[in-house]
Amino acid sequence: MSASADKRPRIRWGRVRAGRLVLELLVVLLCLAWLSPFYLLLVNTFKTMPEISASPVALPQSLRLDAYAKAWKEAHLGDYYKNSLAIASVSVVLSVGVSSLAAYAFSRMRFLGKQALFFFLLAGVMLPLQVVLVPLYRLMSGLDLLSSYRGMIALYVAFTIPFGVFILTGFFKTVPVEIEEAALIDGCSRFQAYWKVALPLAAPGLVTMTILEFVWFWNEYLVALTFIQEEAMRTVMLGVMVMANTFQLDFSKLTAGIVISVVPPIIVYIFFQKYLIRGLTAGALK
Amino acid sequence: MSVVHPHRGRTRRQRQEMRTAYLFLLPALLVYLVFVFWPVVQSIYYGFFEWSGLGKEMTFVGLRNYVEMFTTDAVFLQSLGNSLISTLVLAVVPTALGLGFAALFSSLRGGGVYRSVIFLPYLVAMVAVGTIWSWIYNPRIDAPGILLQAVGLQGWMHDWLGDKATALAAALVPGVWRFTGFAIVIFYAAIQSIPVDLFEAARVDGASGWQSFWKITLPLVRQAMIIVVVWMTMDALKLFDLIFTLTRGNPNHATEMIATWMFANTFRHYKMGYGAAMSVVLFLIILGFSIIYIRWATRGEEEA
Repeated sequence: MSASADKRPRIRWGRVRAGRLVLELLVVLLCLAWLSPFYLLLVNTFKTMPEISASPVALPQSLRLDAYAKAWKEAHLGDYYKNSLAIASVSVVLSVGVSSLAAYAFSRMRFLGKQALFFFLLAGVMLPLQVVLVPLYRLMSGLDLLSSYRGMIALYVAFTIPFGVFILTGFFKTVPVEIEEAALIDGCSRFQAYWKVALPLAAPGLVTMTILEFVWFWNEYLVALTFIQEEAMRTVMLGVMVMANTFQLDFSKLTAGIVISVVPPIIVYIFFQKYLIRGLTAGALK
Repeated sequence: MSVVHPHRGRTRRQRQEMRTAYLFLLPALLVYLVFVFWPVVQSIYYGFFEWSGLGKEMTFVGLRNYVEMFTTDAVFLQSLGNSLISTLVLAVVPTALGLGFAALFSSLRGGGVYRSVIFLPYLVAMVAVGTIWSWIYNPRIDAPGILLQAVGLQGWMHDWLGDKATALAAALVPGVWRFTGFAIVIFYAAIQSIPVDLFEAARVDGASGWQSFWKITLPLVRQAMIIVVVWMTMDALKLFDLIFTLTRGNPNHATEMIATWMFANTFRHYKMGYGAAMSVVLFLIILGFSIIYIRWATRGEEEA
């Protein structure tokens, strides 16, 4: 499915123009209803507690932003942002790198046990994280990797390898091999062919994986909850959990904190919509 | 590269390519073996032991953990039932809504914008979704109550999350809200890839909107539907974040899931062996669903 799919309307519901207008109105209402939790969330960040008690749905009396400042400071969101950004971005780079190396081998080279190895890795896609929690907890505490960037990154990379290899193998298969073959004949090593030719040609696929994995890592919770115990090492999602307890009597701070926590994925969606959608649909097209 | 002995040179090149291939695979395989494969093996092993996880003392108990789960642990049986109900709801409702919305939106100008609106909750972490909704349901806010009052149904006002009878349904609403975002993206893309000519030809032949939907859209999004149902099923069976932030399994385990009960046993009650056994059961359930789905997906291909 190409991104430039024909955008003309598909089914024409109803033959009467007026009927179609009513339909469009209903769709707009549906969308407003769908957005209403976000409305409630946003509007209460600007209110004082008495205002919220009076009416959670009313518009705020003024656009006061101090709940954001307070939530940011009191819940240490600055530190958690730094942790989340560091863990997510390094994990993404390593995961895409390691997955693309393996995907390159699967899509370009012939070797013994290729199919078996591919299915062995692919099986990880359906594995629930819960199955590995107990042994990994033991391993990570043994290696002194609890509450550490290195530990979290290692786990995130490992858990995304199955999906990454699967999707990137598909992407490499759509990249023509002729240029690489020419490069190999010209005396390039396999690694140079991968690094200088295949990777740049597969760039859209790499960006897609990068975007998708960044949002996953940013939103990830179970692994962070299990393997991060030191307060200073918490990710933003653990921060959300903490705020749900500490701010339970101050709704404006709680809502402001939640809004702050969802900003990065929204920004990513705004700027990389095409790639994110392509990543999500990639599996469905094969 | 000069090839003096064609035959020998070729095999040597093949052997060299194999070596290079394994080098390319090495980092991925190594990380996967250490942090995924080996722990799975260990989990299966731990499942046969009684072990607090604190000390080195492990007692071999054979299948007792599994027997206990299915005979004396009433909460586990309840969580199993809750997980299966939730999976049914979260696999069916978002799929139906996502497909319906996508079919509707793809017939409108600006359909992509509407799709983005429905997609938006999927960008929000499940933890944040759970926190947002726990606040929406909070009796001091009670957004559903405000809505009911507005339409004159005060009598229906209710502590949805606090009542055992309604807690599970109420907890699944945010899940449907979020998962539909995933479903609509897949279905919208799938419908966009159907040639417009098909719909136009059907219209010329006098087909109604409904007929076009059943005869053209539905058969041609089958692949997408399989993907959506599989993903939703997997995510629903593993459901943890939402429940952990929304209800913690309360009231009285009415919203307990396999994943939350496993977590509580492992890290709150320090029954690591028991928790490991429970995770193995979860894995087997997912494996079972996978086999059913693979059959569903391949059977259609044989027919086609």
